[in-house]
Amino acid sequence: MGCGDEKLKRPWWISASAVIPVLVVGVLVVVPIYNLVKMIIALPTSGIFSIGVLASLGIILFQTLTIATLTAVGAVLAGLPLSYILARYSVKHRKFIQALVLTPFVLPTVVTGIAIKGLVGSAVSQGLWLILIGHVYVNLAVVVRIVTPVWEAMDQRFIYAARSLGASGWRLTRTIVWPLIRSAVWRAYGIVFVFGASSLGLVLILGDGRWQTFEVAILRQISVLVNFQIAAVFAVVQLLLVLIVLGITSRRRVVARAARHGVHDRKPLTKSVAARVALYVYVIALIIPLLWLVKTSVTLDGSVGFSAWISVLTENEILESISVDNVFMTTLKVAALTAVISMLVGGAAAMTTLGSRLTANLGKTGFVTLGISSVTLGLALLVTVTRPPFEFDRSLWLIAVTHSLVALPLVMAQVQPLLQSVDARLLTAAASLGAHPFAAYKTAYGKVARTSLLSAASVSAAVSLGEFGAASFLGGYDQPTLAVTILRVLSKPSEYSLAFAAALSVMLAAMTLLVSLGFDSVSESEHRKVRHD
Amino acid sequence: MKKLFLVATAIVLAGCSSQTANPQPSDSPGGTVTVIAHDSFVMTDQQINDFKAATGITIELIQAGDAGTMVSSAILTAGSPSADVMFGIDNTLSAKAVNSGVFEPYESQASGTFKSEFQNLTAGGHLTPVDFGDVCVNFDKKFFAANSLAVPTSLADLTSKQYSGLLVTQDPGTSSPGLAFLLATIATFGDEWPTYWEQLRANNVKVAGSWSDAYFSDFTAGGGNGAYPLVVSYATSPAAEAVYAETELSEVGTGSMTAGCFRQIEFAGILRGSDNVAASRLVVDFLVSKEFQSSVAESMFVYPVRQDVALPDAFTRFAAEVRNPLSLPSEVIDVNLDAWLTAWDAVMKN
Repeated sequence: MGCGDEKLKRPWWISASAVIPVLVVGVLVVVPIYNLVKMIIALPTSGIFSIGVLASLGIILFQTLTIATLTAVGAVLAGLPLSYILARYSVKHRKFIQALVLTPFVLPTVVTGIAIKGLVGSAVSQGLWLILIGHVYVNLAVVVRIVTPVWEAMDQRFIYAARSLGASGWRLTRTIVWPLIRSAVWRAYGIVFVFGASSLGLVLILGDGRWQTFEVAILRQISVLVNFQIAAVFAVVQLLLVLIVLGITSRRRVVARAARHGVHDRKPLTKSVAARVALYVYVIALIIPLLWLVKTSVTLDGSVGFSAWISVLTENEILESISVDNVFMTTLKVAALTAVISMLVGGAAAMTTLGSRLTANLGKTGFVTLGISSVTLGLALLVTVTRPPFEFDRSLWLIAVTHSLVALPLVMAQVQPLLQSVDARLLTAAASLGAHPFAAYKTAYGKVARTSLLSAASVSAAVSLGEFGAASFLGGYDQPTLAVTILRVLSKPSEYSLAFAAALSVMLAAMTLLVSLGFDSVSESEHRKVRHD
Repeated sequence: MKKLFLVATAIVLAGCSSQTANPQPSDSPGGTVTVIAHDSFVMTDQQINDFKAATGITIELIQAGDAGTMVSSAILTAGSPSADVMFGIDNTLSAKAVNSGVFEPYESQASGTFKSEFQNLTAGGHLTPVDFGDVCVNFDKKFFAANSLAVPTSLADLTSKQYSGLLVTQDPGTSSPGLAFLLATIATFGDEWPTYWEQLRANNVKVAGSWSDAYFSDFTAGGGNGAYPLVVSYATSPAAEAVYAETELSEVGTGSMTAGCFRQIEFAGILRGSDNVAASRLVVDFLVSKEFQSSVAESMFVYPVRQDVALPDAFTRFAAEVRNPLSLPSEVIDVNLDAWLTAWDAVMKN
């Protein structure tokens, strides 16, 4: 019986926080998609529901589910050990490793695909397994960023108590550790599943044409056949699949309340050879593709040449009307805007988990962007924001908002489990001592919210740095971001193009590291303030 | 936290200050014309400024992704379009778009200056051809010399045993050059084209998901660790190699087959429902003007349709001259494309 379970009267602003994600998602996703669907329905149909289409729908569904499940299982299995090590051992360069984990996630999939093919392609031939390797590599970040903080927040007194009662090893993990991290792991599983199911670039590059996801199928229908009716059917099925999966994996699970001043000791790394070895393996696996990119950026015509780097650091000649520092400035501006907007929108969306069932469910609309095919969303935005009555000025602001939408599910997935793990009795205690509701919430949740939001901001900035899809036309032709520029360079046939693209990718990876380290440093200093009061 | 708030506000204001101007609809030339194009389109700030100085018209560019997305958006919004002028619709999609009532009829006055084969190519008065290119098989000269192998000279050659496992093409469902190559085989072999592809498959052809993947990862001369010295690309790719090289090249390491090439023609058209038709006509004229046409070669690696425009040096020296390009009528492509892609999937993916 939880004697801390009497509910404090919920302040209006917790319930109202649901308005923000609903509004943002509504305006930027629901309205354009609705607009698109209206237009598609208005066109004469031409036998969309033929046997052929239904058969191919079944095949694509099977393939998507296979790729997504294997990806999610693989990413969780690969990510949990690293999360454990980062959470429970005192790792000297933890911030750097956290930042390094993000880089594969940020690099444009074309670049990651080419790098992985270059490194592993001779050992593993193109097809399902190479796709999975690529997917796990890219999605490791999702698992680590979501699970590690929750594992860190776990009060180890439960473990000490269980140990003193004789439990150890597997039993300890199953009965004590797992229930505490379960919700975060399921969240991560769900998100990686969805990323795997909507994968496009890596499937095209690392696959052999026999495996498709819905996103690939939609692209084929639109880019050559201009058959958007069938594309729309696929997009709807994709959305339903995603909603079902997210619904299953993000049910609010009861988590044992962790006391605020619990024990969060970290073991020294010297104590475990296995942990040290594992850490080295992870770091090497994460760094090698970056090293491949560096090598490619200085390889010209079979020998070492630095002209790609000279071009990157001075005026570049390949894209005459765009200067490289213009590209860098645009990219940084958009990433910064995205981080700010994400913290506001994501923070509000995450708060909904503290509200009533209705509020929490409304807040879940923030996850919806995971399920919308990016090809479809791009088309929907293209036909909506450029025409009255929804005409928006194209601007960096608009790109940043779209990027925040893409990052929103990740922000929510990072912040919500942490908010849920705070003991609500703190709230009642504060209130019963006479605190105004706002002050009570601030005392109970404020610091957890702050640190997790800052960490989520670095993920959003990272998402923004690497985003090139639906939003790229929203900013105007002469303001491309780095990811868009890399793609443009890779459309020019020349050995030089690859070196140049590799150099730009290294810069992008460096930016990601800096952004992530920056945010995490601020969040660390906030975190330290927590421990000392 | 206060500091963070101030920094955040500053960042937000910085974002605000780079908004683009709101287009003002106008009925007389002047005002703004929005041009929607695919991602490979290049128009420099210089050209936009020169045009504005000459006509008072501001060109705003929307890059809509690939050609399919661009045409999709136009068909969906036919009558109340997202832009005024569309550039980059090619002969594989033109029939579909014209039949969907996407365009406002307009024939540029400059068509008299086009090469003869382009003079009447207007899809019933709706489109103006602007540039063309040929999709051909490119080869890595070094590889063939090192292995004492003759370079293939026709599509049929590609199925012979000596070229087994040397060719990489792209999926016609996701790649424009991949599609063009498929159309080239259909134009050459007629109804027997699936047999040709069966032979290619038996000869270990590789199918990549996109052009950049094929060129940079699989092509031996693409800078990566490729193993395929034959790649489906453009007749102008060897010229591009010369232009983008870090030092002046006297010869290029790649060449292009001149047989079995498929011609891609890119058109521009005024979108029906545009509120600035008069200015849009001037923009279309600008795209086929001498000034713009003399830039298309170097910026987009395509050929201008005008015959009075000089080609850059790299083109005349390194780009292959394709005398008898293959092509298929747009209407035929429009009607059969779905069936062709399904048949291709059946041959190649089982």
